[in-house]
Amino acid sequence: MKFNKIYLFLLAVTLVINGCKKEKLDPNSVFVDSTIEKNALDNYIYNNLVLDYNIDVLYKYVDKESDQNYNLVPANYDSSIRMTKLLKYLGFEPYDAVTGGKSFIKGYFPKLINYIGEAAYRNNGTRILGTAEGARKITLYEVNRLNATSGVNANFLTDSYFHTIHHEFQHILNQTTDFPSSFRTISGTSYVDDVWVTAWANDGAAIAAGFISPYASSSDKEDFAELYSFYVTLSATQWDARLNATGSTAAGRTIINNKLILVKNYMLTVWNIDMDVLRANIQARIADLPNFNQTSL
Amino acid sequence: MKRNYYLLTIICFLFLAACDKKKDRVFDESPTVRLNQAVANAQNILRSKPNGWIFQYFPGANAPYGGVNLFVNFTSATDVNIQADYSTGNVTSSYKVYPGAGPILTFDTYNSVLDYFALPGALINNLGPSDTGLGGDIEFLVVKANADSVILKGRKRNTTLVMVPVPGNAASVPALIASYRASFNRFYFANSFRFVTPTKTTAVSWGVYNGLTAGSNNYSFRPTDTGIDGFKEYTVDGITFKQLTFKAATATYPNGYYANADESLKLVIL
Repeated sequence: MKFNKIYLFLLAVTLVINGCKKEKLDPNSVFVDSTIEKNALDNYIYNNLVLDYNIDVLYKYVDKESDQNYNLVPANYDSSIRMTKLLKYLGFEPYDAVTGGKSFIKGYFPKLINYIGEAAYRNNGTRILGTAEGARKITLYEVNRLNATSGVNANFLTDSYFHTIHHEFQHILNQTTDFPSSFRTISGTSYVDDVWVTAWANDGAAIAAGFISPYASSSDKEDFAELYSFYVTLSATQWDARLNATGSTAAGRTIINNKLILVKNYMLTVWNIDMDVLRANIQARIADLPNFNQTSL
Repeated sequence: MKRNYYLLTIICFLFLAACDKKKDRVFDESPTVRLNQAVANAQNILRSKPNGWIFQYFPGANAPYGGVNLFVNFTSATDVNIQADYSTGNVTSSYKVYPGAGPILTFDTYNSVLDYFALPGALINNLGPSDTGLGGDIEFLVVKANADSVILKGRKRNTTLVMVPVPGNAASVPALIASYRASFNRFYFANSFRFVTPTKTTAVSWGVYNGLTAGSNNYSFRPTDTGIDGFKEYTVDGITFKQLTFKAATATYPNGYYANADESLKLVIL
Protein backbone atom coordinates (compact mmCIF):
# COMPACT_ATOMS: atom_id res chain seq x y z
CA MET A 1 0.00 0.00 0.00
CA LYS A 2 2.88 2.25 0.82
CA PHE A 3 4.03 2.40 -2.81
CA ASN A 4 0.54 2.79 -4.15
CA LYS A 5 0.13 5.90 -2.08
CA ILE A 6 3.36 7.32 -3.36
CA TYR A 7 2.30 6.69 -6.94
CA LEU A 8 -1.08 8.21 -6.27
CA PHE A 9 0.64 11.21 -4.85
CA LEU A 10 2.99 11.53 -7.80
CA LEU A 11 0.05 11.24 -10.19
CA ALA A 12 -1.76 13.97 -8.37
CA VAL A 13 1.31 16.15 -8.48
CA THR A 14 1.72 15.57 -12.21
CA LEU A 15 -1.89 16.52 -12.76
CA VAL A 16 -1.42 19.68 -10.78
CA ILE A 17 1.71 20.59 -12.72
CA ASN A 18 0.06 19.97 -16.04
CA GLY A 19 -2.92 21.92 -14.89
CA CYS A 20 -0.62 24.89 -14.65
CA LYS A 21 -0.35 25.38 -18.41
CA LYS A 22 -2.74 28.19 -18.92
CA GLU A 23 -1.34 29.82 -22.04
CA LYS A 24 -3.27 29.21 -25.23
CA LEU A 25 -1.44 28.71 -28.50
CA ASP A 26 -1.49 31.70 -30.80
CA PRO A 27 -3.16 30.67 -34.06
CA ASN A 28 -0.78 32.94 -36.00
CA SER A 29 2.74 31.74 -36.75
CA VAL A 30 5.54 33.79 -35.25
CA PHE A 31 7.36 33.51 -38.57
CA VAL A 32 5.97 36.09 -40.92
CA ASP A 33 7.25 35.97 -44.48
CA SER A 34 7.81 39.28 -46.14
CA THR A 35 6.22 39.79 -49.52
CA ILE A 36 8.30 40.86 -52.49
CA GLU A 37 6.83 42.36 -55.64
CA LYS A 38 6.94 39.88 -58.49
CA ASN A 39 8.55 40.92 -61.74
CA ALA A 40 8.14 39.45 -65.23
CA LEU A 41 10.77 36.73 -64.71
CA ASP A 42 9.27 35.75 -61.32
CA ASN A 43 5.92 35.30 -63.02
CA TYR A 44 7.44 33.35 -65.91
CA ILE A 45 9.21 30.98 -63.50
CA TYR A 46 6.03 30.49 -61.48
CA ASN A 47 3.76 29.89 -64.47
CA ASN A 48 6.13 27.77 -66.55
CA LEU A 49 8.41 25.96 -64.14
CA VAL A 50 6.77 25.87 -60.71
CA LEU A 51 3.27 25.05 -61.92
CA ASP A 52 4.27 22.76 -64.79
CA TYR A 53 7.30 20.99 -63.38
CA ASN A 54 7.32 21.74 -59.64
CA ILE A 55 10.79 23.22 -60.14
CA ASP A 56 11.84 26.57 -58.72
CA VAL A 57 14.64 28.78 -59.99
CA LEU A 58 16.66 31.01 -57.67
CA TYR A 59 18.05 33.62 -60.02
CA LYS A 60 18.46 36.13 -57.23
CA TYR A 61 21.37 35.38 -54.94
CA VAL A 62 20.29 33.56 -51.78
CA ASP A 63 23.15 33.36 -49.33
CA LYS A 64 22.10 30.19 -47.54
CA GLU A 65 21.54 28.29 -50.80
CA SER A 66 24.99 29.19 -52.12
CA ASP A 67 28.38 27.65 -51.40
CA GLN A 68 29.90 29.54 -48.47
CA ASN A 69 33.42 28.38 -49.32
CA TYR A 70 33.66 30.57 -52.39
CA ASN A 71 33.40 34.21 -53.32
CA LEU A 72 30.32 34.24 -55.48
CA VAL A 73 28.55 37.01 -57.35
CA PRO A 74 24.86 37.02 -58.32
CA ALA A 75 23.57 36.32 -61.80
CA ASN A 76 22.37 39.33 -63.75
CA TYR A 77 18.73 39.72 -64.67
CA ASP A 78 19.05 39.55 -68.47
CA SER A 79 21.24 36.44 -68.45
CA SER A 80 18.85 34.84 -65.97
CA ILE A 81 15.98 35.31 -68.43
CA ARG A 82 17.99 33.62 -71.19
CA MET A 83 19.07 30.80 -68.89
CA THR A 84 15.53 30.12 -67.70
CA LYS A 85 14.06 30.10 -71.19
CA LEU A 86 16.87 27.90 -72.52
CA LEU A 87 16.53 25.56 -69.57
CA LYS A 88 12.94 24.87 -70.50
CA TYR A 89 13.63 24.73 -74.25
CA LEU A 90 16.78 22.57 -74.26
CA GLY A 91 16.58 20.91 -70.86
CA PHE A 92 12.97 19.99 -70.14
CA GLU A 93 10.97 20.03 -73.36
CA PRO A 94 13.04 17.31 -75.11
CA TYR A 95 12.09 14.94 -72.28
CA ASP A 96 8.45 16.07 -72.50
CA ALA A 97 8.46 15.28 -76.23
CA VAL A 98 10.06 11.85 -75.79
CA THR A 99 8.02 10.73 -72.77
CA GLY A 100 4.79 12.34 -73.98
CA GLY A 101 4.18 14.61 -70.99
CA LYS A 102 5.60 16.79 -68.26
CA SER A 103 5.28 14.21 -65.51
CA PHE A 104 8.73 12.70 -66.11
CA ILE A 105 10.63 15.92 -65.42
CA LYS A 106 8.15 16.86 -62.71
CA GLY A 107 8.71 13.53 -60.99
CA TYR A 108 12.46 13.18 -61.15
CA PHE A 109 14.27 16.43 -61.95
CA PRO A 110 15.86 18.30 -58.98
CA LYS A 111 13.42 20.75 -57.47
CA LEU A 112 15.70 23.75 -57.15
CA ILE A 113 17.97 25.38 -59.69
CA ASN A 114 20.32 28.03 -58.37
CA TYR A 115 22.00 30.57 -60.69
CA ILE A 116 25.40 32.05 -59.85
CA GLY A 117 26.94 34.83 -61.95
CA GLU A 118 30.53 33.64 -62.26
CA ALA A 119 32.36 30.41 -61.54
CA ALA A 120 33.42 29.41 -58.03
CA TYR A 121 37.18 29.91 -58.06
CA ARG A 122 39.56 27.92 -55.87
CA ASN A 123 42.73 29.56 -54.60
CA ASN A 124 44.79 27.66 -57.20
CA GLY A 125 42.83 29.34 -60.00
CA THR A 126 40.74 26.28 -61.02
CA ARG A 127 37.00 26.72 -61.05
CA ILE A 128 33.68 24.94 -60.61
CA LEU A 129 31.06 25.14 -63.37
CA GLY A 130 28.18 23.16 -61.93
CA THR A 131 27.25 21.15 -58.88
CA ALA A 132 24.34 19.00 -57.76
CA GLU A 133 23.39 18.33 -54.18
CA GLY A 134 21.58 15.09 -53.54
CA ALA A 135 18.60 14.83 -55.82
CA ARG A 136 17.37 18.22 -54.78
CA LYS A 137 19.36 21.08 -56.21
CA ILE A 138 21.49 21.95 -59.23
CA THR A 139 23.71 25.03 -59.13
CA LEU A 140 24.67 26.57 -62.48
CA TYR A 141 27.67 28.88 -62.48
CA GLU A 142 28.87 31.46 -65.04
CA VAL A 143 25.30 32.43 -65.92
CA ASN A 144 26.54 35.99 -66.61
CA ARG A 145 28.50 34.67 -69.61
CA LEU A 146 25.19 34.07 -71.34
CA ASN A 147 24.41 36.85 -73.85
CA ALA A 148 23.07 37.37 -77.37
CA THR A 149 26.19 35.80 -78.95
CA SER A 150 26.87 32.93 -76.56
CA GLY A 151 23.14 32.19 -76.29
CA VAL A 152 23.05 30.79 -79.84
CA ASN A 153 26.44 29.06 -79.58
CA ALA A 154 25.41 25.43 -79.15
CA ASN A 155 28.86 24.25 -78.07
CA PHE A 156 29.04 26.94 -75.40
CA LEU A 157 25.58 26.09 -74.09
CA THR A 158 26.37 22.38 -73.97
CA ASP A 159 29.79 22.76 -72.35
CA SER A 160 28.78 25.41 -69.83
CA TYR A 161 25.33 24.29 -68.75
CA PHE A 162 23.51 21.44 -70.46
CA HIS A 163 26.20 18.78 -70.19
CA THR A 164 26.07 19.30 -66.41
CA ILE A 165 22.27 19.30 -66.36
CA HIS A 166 21.91 15.98 -68.22
CA HIS A 167 24.81 14.48 -66.27
CA GLU A 168 23.34 15.32 -62.86
CA PHE A 169 19.87 14.28 -63.98
CA GLN A 170 21.24 10.85 -64.92
CA HIS A 171 22.63 10.46 -61.39
CA ILE A 172 19.17 11.06 -60.00
CA LEU A 173 17.63 8.50 -62.34
CA ASN A 174 20.32 6.04 -61.19
CA GLN A 175 19.51 6.75 -57.56
CA THR A 176 15.86 5.95 -58.26
CA THR A 177 16.58 2.74 -60.20
CA ASP A 178 20.18 1.58 -60.25
CA PHE A 179 21.81 0.67 -63.57
CA PRO A 180 22.70 -3.04 -64.15
CA SER A 181 25.79 -4.24 -62.33
CA SER A 182 27.14 -5.70 -65.59
CA PHE A 183 28.09 -2.11 -66.48
CA ARG A 184 30.55 -2.03 -63.60
CA THR A 185 32.40 -5.10 -64.81
CA ILE A 186 33.29 -3.69 -68.23
CA SER A 187 35.87 -1.20 -67.00
CA GLY A 188 36.17 -3.00 -63.65
CA THR A 189 39.50 -2.12 -62.17
CA SER A 190 40.36 0.66 -64.62
CA TYR A 191 38.62 3.38 -62.59
CA VAL A 192 41.19 5.72 -61.10
CA ASP A 193 39.10 7.67 -58.56
CA ASP A 194 40.42 11.20 -57.83
CA VAL A 195 43.50 10.73 -59.99
CA TRP A 196 41.29 11.34 -63.06
CA VAL A 197 42.51 14.96 -63.02
CA THR A 198 46.09 13.97 -63.84
CA ALA A 199 45.69 10.42 -65.18
CA TRP A 200 45.16 11.34 -68.82
CA ALA A 201 47.28 13.55 -71.03
CA ASN A 202 44.22 14.49 -73.11
CA ASP A 203 40.71 13.34 -74.01
CA GLY A 204 42.15 10.91 -76.56
CA ALA A 205 44.16 9.09 -73.89
CA ALA A 206 40.98 8.62 -71.84
CA ILE A 207 39.15 7.31 -74.95
CA ALA A 208 41.98 4.82 -75.53
CA ALA A 209 41.38 3.50 -72.00
CA GLY A 210 37.66 3.18 -72.68
CA PHE A 211 36.39 6.40 -71.06
CA ILE A 212 34.37 9.04 -72.89
CA SER A 213 36.05 11.80 -70.83
CA PRO A 214 38.77 11.98 -68.15
CA TYR A 215 36.08 12.54 -65.50
CA ALA A 216 34.29 9.35 -66.58
CA SER A 217 37.28 7.39 -65.30
CA SER A 218 36.67 8.47 -61.70
CA SER A 219 33.95 5.87 -60.99
CA ASP A 220 31.34 3.68 -62.67
CA LYS A 221 28.57 6.13 -61.64
CA GLU A 222 30.33 9.08 -63.27
CA ASP A 223 31.19 6.92 -66.28
CA PHE A 224 27.52 6.09 -66.77
CA ALA A 225 26.39 9.71 -66.41
CA GLU A 226 29.16 11.02 -68.69
CA LEU A 227 28.35 8.51 -71.43
CA TYR A 228 24.70 9.45 -71.24
CA SER A 229 25.25 13.20 -71.17
CA PHE A 230 27.80 13.28 -73.98
CA TYR A 231 25.65 11.03 -76.16
CA VAL A 232 22.42 13.03 -75.88
CA THR A 233 24.03 16.49 -76.09
CA LEU A 234 26.43 15.86 -79.00
CA SER A 235 25.41 15.41 -82.62
CA ALA A 236 26.41 12.16 -84.33
CA THR A 237 29.29 13.98 -86.03
CA GLN A 238 30.53 15.51 -82.78
CA TRP A 239 30.22 12.16 -81.00
CA ASP A 240 32.29 10.43 -83.69
CA ALA A 241 34.88 13.21 -83.61
CA ARG A 242 35.14 12.80 -79.85
CA LEU A 243 35.63 9.04 -80.15
CA ASN A 244 38.33 9.58 -82.75
CA ALA A 245 40.23 12.30 -80.89
CA THR A 246 44.01 12.32 -81.16
CA GLY A 247 45.43 9.51 -79.05
CA SER A 248 42.30 7.37 -79.11
CA THR A 249 42.36 3.70 -80.12
CA ALA A 250 39.91 1.25 -81.69
CA ALA A 251 40.13 -0.91 -78.57
CA GLY A 252 39.06 2.04 -76.43
CA ARG A 253 36.18 2.83 -78.78
CA THR A 254 34.96 -0.77 -78.51
CA ILE A 255 34.86 -0.55 -74.71
CA ILE A 256 32.94 2.73 -74.90
CA ASN A 257 30.47 1.36 -77.42
CA ASN A 258 29.89 -1.75 -75.31
CA LYS A 259 29.14 0.45 -72.31
CA LEU A 260 26.95 2.74 -74.38
CA ILE A 261 24.76 -0.23 -75.35
CA LEU A 262 24.07 -0.83 -71.66
CA VAL A 263 23.31 2.85 -71.06
CA LYS A 264 20.86 2.94 -73.98
CA ASN A 265 19.29 -0.31 -72.87
CA TYR A 266 18.88 0.99 -69.30
CA MET A 267 17.19 4.21 -70.48
CA LEU A 268 14.87 2.28 -72.77
CA THR A 269 13.83 -0.53 -70.42
CA VAL A 270 13.72 1.40 -67.13
CA TRP A 271 12.58 4.84 -68.29
CA ASN A 272 11.14 4.09 -71.71
CA ILE A 273 13.37 6.72 -73.30
CA ASP A 274 15.08 6.02 -76.61
CA MET A 275 18.32 7.98 -76.35
CA ASP A 276 18.55 8.33 -80.12
CA VAL A 277 15.10 9.90 -80.26
CA LEU A 278 16.02 12.21 -77.37
CA ARG A 279 19.28 13.17 -79.06
CA ALA A 280 17.50 13.87 -82.36
CA ASN A 281 15.01 16.08 -80.52
CA ILE A 282 17.79 18.03 -78.77
CA GLN A 283 19.73 18.40 -82.03
CA ALA A 284 16.64 19.72 -83.82
CA ARG A 285 16.18 22.29 -81.07
CA ILE A 286 19.86 23.29 -81.24
CA ALA A 287 19.55 23.73 -85.01
CA ASP A 288 16.53 25.97 -84.41
CA LEU A 289 18.28 28.10 -81.75
CA PRO A 290 18.57 31.22 -83.96
CA ASN A 291 14.75 31.26 -84.22
CA PHE A 292 14.18 30.71 -80.52
CA ASN A 293 13.35 33.89 -78.62
CA GLN A 294 15.43 33.85 -75.44
CA THR A 295 14.53 37.27 -74.15
CA SER A 296 10.73 37.62 -74.25
CA LEU A 297 8.81 36.54 -71.19
CA MET B 1 8.29 6.62 6.26
CA LYS B 2 5.80 9.18 7.33
CA ARG B 3 8.43 11.82 7.21
CA ASN B 4 9.06 11.03 3.54
CA TYR B 5 5.50 11.95 2.68
CA TYR B 6 6.03 15.31 4.31
CA LEU B 7 9.13 15.71 2.23
CA LEU B 8 7.18 14.83 -0.91
CA THR B 9 4.49 17.29 -0.01
CA ILE B 10 7.05 20.03 0.40
CA ILE B 11 8.63 19.16 -2.96
CA CYS B 12 5.19 19.31 -4.52
CA PHE B 13 4.66 22.78 -3.19
CA LEU B 14 8.00 23.76 -4.62
CA PHE B 15 6.87 22.46 -8.02
CA LEU B 16 3.67 24.41 -7.78
CA ALA B 17 5.61 27.54 -7.02
CA ALA B 18 7.97 26.87 -9.89
CA CYS B 19 5.00 26.61 -12.20
CA ASP B 20 4.30 30.30 -12.27
CA LYS B 21 5.21 31.25 -15.80
CA LYS B 22 3.88 34.75 -15.79
CA LYS B 23 6.91 36.94 -16.25
CA ASP B 24 7.01 40.45 -17.51
CA ARG B 25 8.29 40.55 -21.07
CA VAL B 26 11.27 42.76 -21.67
CA PHE B 27 9.66 43.81 -24.94
CA ASP B 28 5.95 44.07 -25.60
CA GLU B 29 6.12 42.45 -29.04
CA SER B 30 7.37 39.01 -29.97
CA PRO B 31 10.89 38.76 -31.44
CA THR B 32 9.55 38.07 -34.94
CA VAL B 33 7.30 41.09 -34.88
CA ARG B 34 10.19 43.27 -33.75
CA LEU B 35 12.51 41.79 -36.40
CA ASN B 36 9.91 42.43 -39.10
CA GLN B 37 9.55 45.99 -37.83
CA ALA B 38 13.32 46.43 -38.01
CA VAL B 39 13.31 45.11 -41.60
CA ALA B 40 10.46 47.44 -42.56
CA ASN B 41 12.20 50.35 -40.85
CA ALA B 42 15.49 49.67 -42.66
CA GLN B 43 13.69 49.42 -45.99
CA ASN B 44 11.79 52.65 -45.37
CA ILE B 45 14.94 54.54 -44.38
CA LEU B 46 16.85 53.27 -47.43
CA ARG B 47 14.03 54.36 -49.72
CA SER B 48 13.47 57.70 -47.98
CA LYS B 49 16.31 59.53 -49.78
CA PRO B 50 15.35 60.54 -53.33
CA ASN B 51 19.01 61.38 -54.06
CA GLY B 52 20.18 58.11 -52.59
CA TRP B 53 23.13 57.42 -50.35
CA ILE B 54 26.90 57.74 -50.48
CA PHE B 55 28.09 54.26 -49.55
CA GLN B 56 31.61 54.64 -48.10
CA TYR B 57 32.78 51.27 -49.32
CA PHE B 58 35.99 49.57 -48.20
CA PRO B 59 36.35 46.02 -49.61
CA GLY B 60 38.01 43.21 -47.66
CA ALA B 61 38.29 42.44 -43.95
CA ASN B 62 39.45 45.56 -42.07
CA ALA B 63 40.02 47.45 -45.32
CA PRO B 64 43.37 46.08 -46.55
CA TYR B 65 42.88 47.99 -49.81
CA GLY B 66 41.66 51.49 -50.47
CA GLY B 67 38.04 52.62 -50.40
CA VAL B 68 35.60 54.03 -52.92
CA ASN B 69 32.30 55.89 -52.87
CA LEU B 70 29.25 54.15 -54.28
CA PHE B 71 26.23 56.32 -55.06
CA VAL B 72 23.40 53.98 -54.19
CA ASN B 73 19.81 54.95 -54.88
CA PHE B 74 17.00 52.61 -53.82
CA THR B 75 14.46 53.61 -56.45
CA SER B 76 11.71 51.09 -55.72
CA ALA B 77 10.91 48.20 -53.40
CA THR B 78 13.17 45.98 -55.52
CA ASP B 79 15.34 48.20 -57.73
CA VAL B 80 18.60 49.89 -56.84
CA ASN B 81 20.71 52.16 -59.05
CA ILE B 82 24.44 52.26 -58.35
CA GLN B 83 27.06 54.70 -59.63
CA ALA B 84 30.57 55.15 -58.30
CA ASP B 85 33.59 57.43 -58.23
CA TYR B 86 35.97 54.73 -59.49
CA SER B 87 34.07 54.02 -62.72
CA THR B 88 31.62 55.71 -65.04
CA GLY B 89 29.16 52.80 -64.73
CA ASN B 90 25.50 53.53 -64.04
CA VAL B 91 23.77 50.21 -63.40
CA THR B 92 20.37 49.25 -62.04
CA SER B 93 19.90 45.88 -60.38
CA SER B 94 17.80 44.47 -57.53
CA TYR B 95 18.08 44.47 -53.75
CA LYS B 96 16.17 43.07 -50.83
CA VAL B 97 16.05 43.59 -47.08
CA TYR B 98 15.29 40.33 -45.31
CA PRO B 99 15.29 39.15 -41.71
CA GLY B 100 18.30 37.26 -40.38
CA ALA B 101 20.37 38.10 -37.31
CA GLY B 102 18.81 41.52 -37.92
CA PRO B 103 17.70 43.25 -41.12
CA ILE B 104 20.02 42.07 -43.90
CA LEU B 105 20.52 44.18 -47.02
CA THR B 106 21.42 42.02 -50.02
CA PHE B 107 22.23 43.16 -53.56
CA ASP B 108 20.85 39.98 -55.08
CA THR B 109 21.28 40.38 -58.84
CA TYR B 110 24.54 41.26 -60.57
CA ASN B 111 25.55 44.90 -60.53
CA SER B 112 28.93 45.44 -62.19
CA VAL B 113 29.62 48.64 -60.20
CA LEU B 114 29.27 46.95 -56.79
CA ASP B 115 30.16 43.36 -57.69
CA TYR B 116 33.55 44.34 -59.17
CA PHE B 117 34.84 44.11 -55.60
CA ALA B 118 33.24 40.70 -55.00
CA LEU B 119 34.54 39.02 -58.17
CA PRO B 120 37.25 36.38 -57.84
CA GLY B 121 40.74 37.82 -58.37
CA ALA B 122 41.13 35.65 -61.49
CA LEU B 123 38.49 37.82 -63.20
CA ILE B 124 39.87 41.26 -62.20
CA ASN B 125 43.51 41.00 -63.36
CA ASN B 126 44.46 39.11 -60.18
CA LEU B 127 43.86 42.06 -57.89
CA GLY B 128 43.93 40.22 -54.58
CA PRO B 129 43.99 36.39 -54.34
CA SER B 130 42.61 34.44 -57.33
CA ASP B 131 39.64 33.13 -55.33
CA THR B 132 38.64 36.00 -53.03
CA GLY B 133 39.74 38.97 -55.13
CA LEU B 134 39.31 42.26 -53.29
CA GLY B 135 36.95 40.61 -50.82
CA GLY B 136 34.00 42.94 -51.29
CA ASP B 137 30.76 42.06 -49.55
CA ILE B 138 27.39 42.01 -51.27
CA GLU B 139 25.32 41.24 -48.18
CA PHE B 140 25.24 43.49 -45.15
CA LEU B 141 23.72 43.38 -41.71
CA VAL B 142 21.94 46.69 -41.06
CA VAL B 143 23.38 47.57 -37.66
CA LYS B 144 21.66 50.95 -37.42
CA ALA B 145 19.41 52.86 -39.78
CA ASN B 146 18.21 56.41 -39.32
CA ALA B 147 17.71 59.46 -41.51
CA ASP B 148 21.33 60.67 -40.99
CA SER B 149 23.23 57.49 -41.64
CA VAL B 150 22.97 53.75 -42.14
CA ILE B 151 25.61 51.57 -40.53
CA LEU B 152 26.21 48.26 -42.28
CA LYS B 153 28.37 45.29 -41.46
CA GLY B 154 29.59 43.03 -44.29
CA ARG B 155 28.43 39.48 -43.67
CA LYS B 156 31.54 37.73 -44.98
CA ARG B 157 34.31 40.16 -43.98
CA ASN B 158 32.69 41.79 -40.95
CA THR B 159 33.84 45.25 -42.01
CA THR B 160 31.68 48.04 -40.63
CA LEU B 161 30.68 50.46 -43.39
CA VAL B 162 28.66 53.66 -43.43
CA MET B 163 26.12 55.16 -45.83
CA VAL B 164 25.27 58.85 -45.59
CA PRO B 165 22.61 60.68 -47.61
CA VAL B 166 23.68 62.33 -50.86
CA PRO B 167 23.45 66.07 -50.10
CA GLY B 168 21.76 68.67 -52.30
CA ASN B 169 18.89 68.10 -54.68
CA ALA B 170 18.28 65.98 -57.75
CA ALA B 171 19.75 68.66 -60.03
CA SER B 172 23.02 68.93 -58.11
CA VAL B 173 23.70 65.19 -57.85
CA PRO B 174 25.46 64.77 -61.23
CA ALA B 175 27.88 67.60 -60.39
CA LEU B 176 28.57 66.08 -56.98
CA ILE B 177 29.32 62.67 -58.50
CA ALA B 178 31.56 64.38 -61.08
CA SER B 179 33.53 66.10 -58.31
CA TYR B 180 33.95 62.79 -56.48
CA ARG B 181 35.19 61.20 -59.71
CA ALA B 182 37.68 64.04 -60.24
CA SER B 183 38.91 63.63 -56.67
CA PHE B 184 39.20 59.86 -57.11
CA ASN B 185 41.24 60.28 -60.30
CA ARG B 186 43.54 62.87 -58.69
CA PHE B 187 44.29 60.45 -55.86
CA TYR B 188 44.43 57.29 -57.94
CA PHE B 189 46.68 58.64 -60.68
CA ALA B 190 49.39 59.91 -58.33
CA ASN B 191 52.68 58.07 -58.82
CA SER B 192 53.44 57.92 -55.10
CA PHE B 193 53.20 60.03 -51.94
CA ARG B 194 55.22 61.31 -49.01
CA PHE B 195 54.11 62.02 -45.43
CA VAL B 196 55.59 65.33 -44.28
CA THR B 197 55.47 66.33 -40.59
CA PRO B 198 57.51 68.98 -38.76
CA THR B 199 59.96 66.26 -37.68
CA LYS B 200 60.08 63.68 -40.40
CA THR B 201 59.47 62.74 -44.02
CA THR B 202 58.18 59.23 -44.89
CA ALA B 203 57.93 57.69 -48.34
CA VAL B 204 54.48 56.23 -49.16
CA SER B 205 53.82 53.86 -52.06
CA TRP B 206 50.81 52.12 -53.55
CA GLY B 207 49.63 48.80 -52.15
CA VAL B 208 46.99 46.62 -53.81
CA TYR B 209 44.16 48.53 -55.55
CA ASN B 210 44.23 52.02 -54.00
CA GLY B 211 45.66 51.09 -50.62
CA LEU B 212 48.81 52.87 -49.41
CA THR B 213 51.83 51.44 -47.61
CA ALA B 214 54.70 53.10 -45.74
CA GLY B 215 57.17 50.56 -44.38
CA SER B 216 55.11 48.00 -42.47
CA ASN B 217 52.10 50.33 -42.10
CA ASN B 218 49.08 50.17 -44.37
CA TYR B 219 46.68 53.04 -44.92
CA SER B 220 43.27 52.81 -46.47
CA PHE B 221 41.81 56.04 -47.80
CA ARG B 222 38.62 56.91 -49.61
CA PRO B 223 38.78 59.99 -51.83
CA THR B 224 36.06 62.54 -50.99
CA ASP B 225 34.98 65.71 -52.78
CA THR B 226 37.25 67.77 -50.49
CA GLY B 227 40.20 65.42 -50.01
CA ILE B 228 40.58 61.94 -48.56
CA ASP B 229 39.05 60.14 -45.59
CA GLY B 230 40.70 57.26 -43.71
CA PHE B 231 39.00 53.96 -42.95
CA LYS B 232 39.97 54.70 -39.33
CA GLU B 233 42.21 57.12 -37.44
CA TYR B 234 45.88 56.80 -38.29
CA THR B 235 48.90 58.15 -36.43
CA VAL B 236 52.05 59.30 -38.19
CA ASP B 237 54.93 60.73 -36.10
CA GLY B 238 52.56 61.23 -33.18
CA ILE B 239 50.01 63.13 -35.25
CA THR B 240 46.60 61.48 -35.37
CA PHE B 241 44.31 62.14 -38.30
CA LYS B 242 41.41 60.69 -40.26
CA GLN B 243 40.33 63.29 -42.81
CA LEU B 244 42.75 65.25 -44.95
CA THR B 245 41.83 68.19 -47.18
CA PHE B 246 43.24 68.66 -50.68
CA LYS B 247 45.40 71.76 -51.14
CA ALA B 248 46.22 73.07 -54.60
CA ALA B 249 49.73 73.07 -56.01
CA THR B 250 52.36 75.40 -54.51
CA ALA B 251 55.97 76.10 -55.48
CA THR B 252 57.18 73.55 -52.88
CA TYR B 253 54.53 70.96 -53.76
CA PRO B 254 53.90 71.25 -57.51
CA ASN B 255 51.33 68.40 -57.58
CA GLY B 256 49.41 69.60 -54.54
CA TYR B 257 48.96 67.78 -51.23
CA TYR B 258 46.47 66.58 -48.66
CA ALA B 259 46.73 68.11 -45.17
CA ASN B 260 45.06 68.05 -41.76
CA ALA B 261 43.44 71.19 -40.27
CA ASP B 262 46.60 72.90 -38.99
CA GLU B 263 48.73 71.49 -41.82
CA SER B 264 51.06 69.82 -39.31
CA LEU B 265 50.72 66.66 -41.41
CA LYS B 266 50.84 66.63 -45.18
CA LEU B 267 50.41 63.76 -47.61
CA VAL B 268 52.27 65.14 -50.59
CA ILE B 269 51.43 63.95 -54.12
CA LEU B 270 54.53 63.00 -56.12
